[in-house]
Amino acid sequence: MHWQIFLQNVFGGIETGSLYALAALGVVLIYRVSDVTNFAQGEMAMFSTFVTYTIWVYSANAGFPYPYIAAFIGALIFSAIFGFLIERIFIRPTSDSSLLGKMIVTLGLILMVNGSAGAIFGTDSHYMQRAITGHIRFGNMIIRPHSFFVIGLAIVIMLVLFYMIKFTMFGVAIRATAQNDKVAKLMGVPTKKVTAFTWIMATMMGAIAGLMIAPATNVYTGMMADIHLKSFIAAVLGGFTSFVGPVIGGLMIGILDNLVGYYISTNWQTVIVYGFLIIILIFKPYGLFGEIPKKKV
Amino acid sequence: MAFFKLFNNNPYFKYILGSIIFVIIVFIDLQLGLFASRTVNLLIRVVYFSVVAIGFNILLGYAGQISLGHAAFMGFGAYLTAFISNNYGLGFLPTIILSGLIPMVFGVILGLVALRLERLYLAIATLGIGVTIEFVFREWVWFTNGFSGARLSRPEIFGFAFNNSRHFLLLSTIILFIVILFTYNLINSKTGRALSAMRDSGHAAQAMGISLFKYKLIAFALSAFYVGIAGSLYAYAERYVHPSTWGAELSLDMLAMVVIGGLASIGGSVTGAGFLVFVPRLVQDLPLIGEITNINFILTGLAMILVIRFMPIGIYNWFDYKFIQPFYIKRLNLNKPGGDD
Amino acid sequence: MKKLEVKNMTKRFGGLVAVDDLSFKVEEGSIFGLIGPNGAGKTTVFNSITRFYNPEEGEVILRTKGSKIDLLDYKTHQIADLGLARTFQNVELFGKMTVLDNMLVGAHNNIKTNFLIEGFRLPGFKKKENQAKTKAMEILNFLGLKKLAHQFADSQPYGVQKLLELGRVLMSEPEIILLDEPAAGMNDSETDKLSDLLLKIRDEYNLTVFLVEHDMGLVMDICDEIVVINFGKSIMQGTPKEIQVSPEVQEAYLGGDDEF
Repeated sequence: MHWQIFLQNVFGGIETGSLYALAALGVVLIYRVSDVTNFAQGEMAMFSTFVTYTIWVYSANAGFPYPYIAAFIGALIFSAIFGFLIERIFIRPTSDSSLLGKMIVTLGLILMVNGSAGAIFGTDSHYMQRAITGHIRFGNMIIRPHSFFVIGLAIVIMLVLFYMIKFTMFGVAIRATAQNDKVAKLMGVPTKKVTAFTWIMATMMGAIAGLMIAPATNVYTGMMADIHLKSFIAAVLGGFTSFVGPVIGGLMIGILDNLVGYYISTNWQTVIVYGFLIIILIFKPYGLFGEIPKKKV
Repeated sequence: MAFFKLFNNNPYFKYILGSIIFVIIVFIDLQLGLFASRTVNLLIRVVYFSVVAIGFNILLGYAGQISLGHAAFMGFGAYLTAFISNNYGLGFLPTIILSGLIPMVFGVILGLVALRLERLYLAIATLGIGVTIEFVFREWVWFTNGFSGARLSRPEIFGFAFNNSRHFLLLSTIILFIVILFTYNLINSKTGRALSAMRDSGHAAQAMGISLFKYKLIAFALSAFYVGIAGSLYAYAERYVHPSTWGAELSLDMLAMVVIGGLASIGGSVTGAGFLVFVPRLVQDLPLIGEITNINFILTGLAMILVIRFMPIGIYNWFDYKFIQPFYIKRLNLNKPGGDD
Repeated sequence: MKKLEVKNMTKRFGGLVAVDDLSFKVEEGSIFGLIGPNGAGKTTVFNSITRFYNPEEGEVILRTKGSKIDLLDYKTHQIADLGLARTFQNVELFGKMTVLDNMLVGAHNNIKTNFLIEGFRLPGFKKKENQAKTKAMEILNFLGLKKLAHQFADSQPYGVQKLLELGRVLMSEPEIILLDEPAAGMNDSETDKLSDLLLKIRDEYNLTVFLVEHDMGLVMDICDEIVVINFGKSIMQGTPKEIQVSPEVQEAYLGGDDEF
């Protein structure tokens, strides 16, 4: 049935869309708190995924009963440390630079992280299992439990994040730093801790996104490139000034991406998604949910 | 003393002296093979990337506009050169100029889009161009020959073919110097000032009669033109144009060149081009370290970060302000801190 | 003769009426002040006249070169050509350009070159460029800033920056200059110097001067006429003496931070 296939594609779109949403949220979080467009987000996620994969293979070979869980936990621990180190070593010393300078630092990071990944882990492509294996048939549709896991996980993470931002003191600290870090600092907000925390969060979300998408893309140095671009498109689509925008943007991009990929061709996916963004930007130059800044003359 | 006065009062003197020295070097090289072949090819790369960097600096350094998709214009210029020289044989000068003019039209279109979008959104939107242009070139088979790539031969001027790379190096350097002189003149004139004014204060610029609409379009048009002719030089130099060259990486390299070399500075543009061409190669040649896979990527990335950390205004500007300007001020008793080269 | 006349100007921001059916006239060659308590709408009026805002209703009639035009028909970047030049409350200089270059941008409309003439240094370039440079140095000299010509604008102290903004407006050979809080951030002696300077400039360059100001000392000192506004409406227009004794004006300022 046509509608079944359509539904399956939409559902698949929600699955990848949730991952785009996670990644986009990470990008916006970092941008609003430390004024950096982290172009290296995708590469860092890729690197984390490689580490995760290595833990998975290693613990499976060592006879550990739950290698995937070990890998998952390993992903969280590694990416937290990774995000912390990157922020500390590369971002903080250059926090006085211009916006462009900070952009270049992340470009440099792309080279370093991608290059290191290739040097350490090699250029081969590796298979990674899903979180929950197997599938269920509903008539003509195939539904994988893994998809529910991905969507569920993304929802949980976003809910936790939103709860924290809206209802806790630390969330207030984040919002204060995002609005005006100089004043926040004067008011006693621990802006350095806030910045470090957002980098850790964003890197962790990237690592999870990478782990969840790995079954579909395989693990290799270029695995996150396309997703990374789409997550930026999602962030712009949603609007950089809100935290809700990137999530909606991510879901929209995910669904659009899937539908185009199935009904038109996988070649044209990126071009059409990008074209969609341009059309939206023509009518809403600050994204769907972005705020128009008020300029004082 | 008189020498320094001449140097300072007549800026052209710098460039004329530089070009005379360079012509002498190249001439010696032609006779004696001073540079290795590989070096000649690297220098050609530096030359056309310098044109790119100057064009991109006009957009970003002087006018304050961003585009992360400019590789599209360079590729377009390259393919135009291949297409024209294979199908119409128009001759070097008309071909290279057309390879700049046609991308310039698209530059104006991009400028119209840029009028609507604020910096960050413009950056990401143009990044999308940077990513998808490769695909467009691959599919546009009748124009680009798609996946197989386009081949062409070196240009001919009055029957003299530039097949020898050393000759071509000389030719492209002459083009670069024309570009530099033109740009220098432009910067120190009404249009150049209007662009910088637009960057520093859009409101005040408008109050002085500068139409942001007009000058943003000029910035995008000029930068597309420059990058287009650089693409033309690329095509003639490599004699082969392939879609995979024109990816996001190249667009981001253009940004890196001008920020690392120095914004709003012709010297900075050339420095940045030199940095991005030579540093990866030099790293590869290092003993022991050079053997590690991907080490050139890793160390180039590190070098970029170190430059931002320690020389945030760019390598050339940093040296200019630290050493060269104070030297002039002391020697000539002026109170003249820099600005443009 | 009326140089500038604002007629029934109304400007709304959403539900807020910032300027409410405002009218006043500025005599040619005079120094005219627009004052009012904080939030009265002065900046809105100023920005509407200089075309940074678009009033919903009204006209702004300018008499120039023998004819009358409605400024509201023109865009922001077109007013310089009509003989108006303005300064900014927050001193919007071109920070990364030199003092001299800031001045030269002021002469933008008067230098008739295009990018081809400039790029190839075709004949005609040098003369036009030098004309502008000479004029710029003259004005800088007049303001006592000549030595700073090649320094960057953003490294200058605040007082110098304010003077530079004044110099910049003179470059376009305007007929009327509009100053947005010229005395902001100045102490008493600096304000006195500014008063003298403004009178000198008005006489030397044959200008009409329109200023928005908080500093009552300056306003009462040099203005020929003043309009007082509050809540976007005109309270009173008159000479400094008339304004000073008016009970309505005093009531508008009661509780405010300004004193006569």
